[in-house]
Amino acid sequence: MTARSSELAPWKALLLAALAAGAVLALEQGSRAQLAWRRFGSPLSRALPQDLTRTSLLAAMGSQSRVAADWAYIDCLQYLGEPANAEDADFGRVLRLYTEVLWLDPGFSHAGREGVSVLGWGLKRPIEAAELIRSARAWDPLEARYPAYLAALGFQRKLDPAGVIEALRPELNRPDVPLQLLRMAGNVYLQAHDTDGAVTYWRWVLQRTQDPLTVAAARRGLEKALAMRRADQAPAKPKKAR
Amino acid sequence: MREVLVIALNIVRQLLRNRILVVLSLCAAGLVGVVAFLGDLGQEAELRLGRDFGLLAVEAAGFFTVLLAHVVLLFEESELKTYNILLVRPVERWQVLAGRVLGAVLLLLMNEASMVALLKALGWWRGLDLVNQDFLVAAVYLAAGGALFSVVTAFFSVLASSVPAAAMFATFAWALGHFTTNLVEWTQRLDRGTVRGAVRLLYWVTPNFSLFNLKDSLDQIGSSLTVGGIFGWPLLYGTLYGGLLLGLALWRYDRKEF
Repeated sequence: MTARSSELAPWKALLLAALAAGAVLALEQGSRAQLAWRRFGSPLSRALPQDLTRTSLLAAMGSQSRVAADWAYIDCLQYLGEPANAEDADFGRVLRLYTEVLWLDPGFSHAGREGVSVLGWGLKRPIEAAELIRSARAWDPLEARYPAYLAALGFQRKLDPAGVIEALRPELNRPDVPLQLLRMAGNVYLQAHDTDGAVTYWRWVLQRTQDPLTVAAARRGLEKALAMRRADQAPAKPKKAR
Repeated sequence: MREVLVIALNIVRQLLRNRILVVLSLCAAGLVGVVAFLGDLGQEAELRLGRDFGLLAVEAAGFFTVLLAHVVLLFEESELKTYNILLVRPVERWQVLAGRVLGAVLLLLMNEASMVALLKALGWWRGLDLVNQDFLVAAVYLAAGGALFSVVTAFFSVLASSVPAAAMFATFAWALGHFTTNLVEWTQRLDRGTVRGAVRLLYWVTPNFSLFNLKDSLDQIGSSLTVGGIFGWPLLYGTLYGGLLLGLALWRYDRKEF
């Protein structure tokens, strides 16, 4: 190879310089236009969550944040699906895992709503659920579905099952409601010992969905509620005389 | 231009004869299988995961198609001395190089189109609208990024002294091209002007592939199709940067001794 810059014809050198200048200009303008266009911007513009995994950080730096959010979401589902994780401080990493998903892609609101449902009504940790909503709303203030969950968590703290369901009613009626919410919202009735409410709710869920896991959860919930109601209605047994 | 097209078509034929496309098609089919599996894992988010992993598979298949095509051509040129036979014919060196770039792009388009078709069939089978308008637009931009990568690989195949070196340089440039935009954003917060300047220079010099990555904002594409800037600048950048790199590669290639 014997190429030297002096061997390049001046007009060719000029043409290459013009192409270089044009490329830099197009890159700068294109990046600026895309930055303004993208609803959420790069994850690196948001505060890094605690215990962020190296894979997610690397993916965020390599412009693969959306697919990394999907990957992190699969991690969430696998973590929840493993019964042994109940011994990990009662699924103690749920908040961290779902926060990572939303940090990578705040537009993945299904994951956010599902995480809140699991924390708020499955694991009964409303404080952590509210923390997840706060992060989600800070990163995606335009998402209109989070406030209903926040209101329901408020009712949950007061152990007001009717209030919880009323606040979540629009969400429960949506076709894309997280199934975790459908499976878990009925628990608030039992927590407040409202067996009639629980029976009505689970019967409604059975009519509404055909998802096998949700149907199974609804049947279990219905049986439990009916058993509690029978126990409540049964006359108190007289104490045996000694 | 006719010579370039003839060379490109011959290169595609030659690569098909080398079973490159067969291997790549098997890999692509395997990737689509992985997409189906990962989508299934996503349960209620199956559609989103299917689209995202589908586009990732398209991008990965594009990368390997272009890289393998150039590596095989470079190997045949340098080790099997096919170049000497080619130069006996009345063709210019620039036509050979441009034909090689175009041939790899044609193979890339064939591979990506077949993958999209496979994903469409997968979506139809599972009752999901996997390949919608947004998906297609994102896939077209990934193909445009792949075309730029073809020029980058051709450039390194001229510059590097061996086949592995060319493959390594091209892979490194491809990876770096996905990072530099975020690195610039990251270093904006630093006080050190020299670091900021160095990263900005790197951002200008290395090929930028994140500009072609519309898949990270997939949900927004449909509502923004009339906003020309988002879609126009990447194509202009690809043309200008690709032209520059091809010009430099041709200049070196013209003086290369075989």
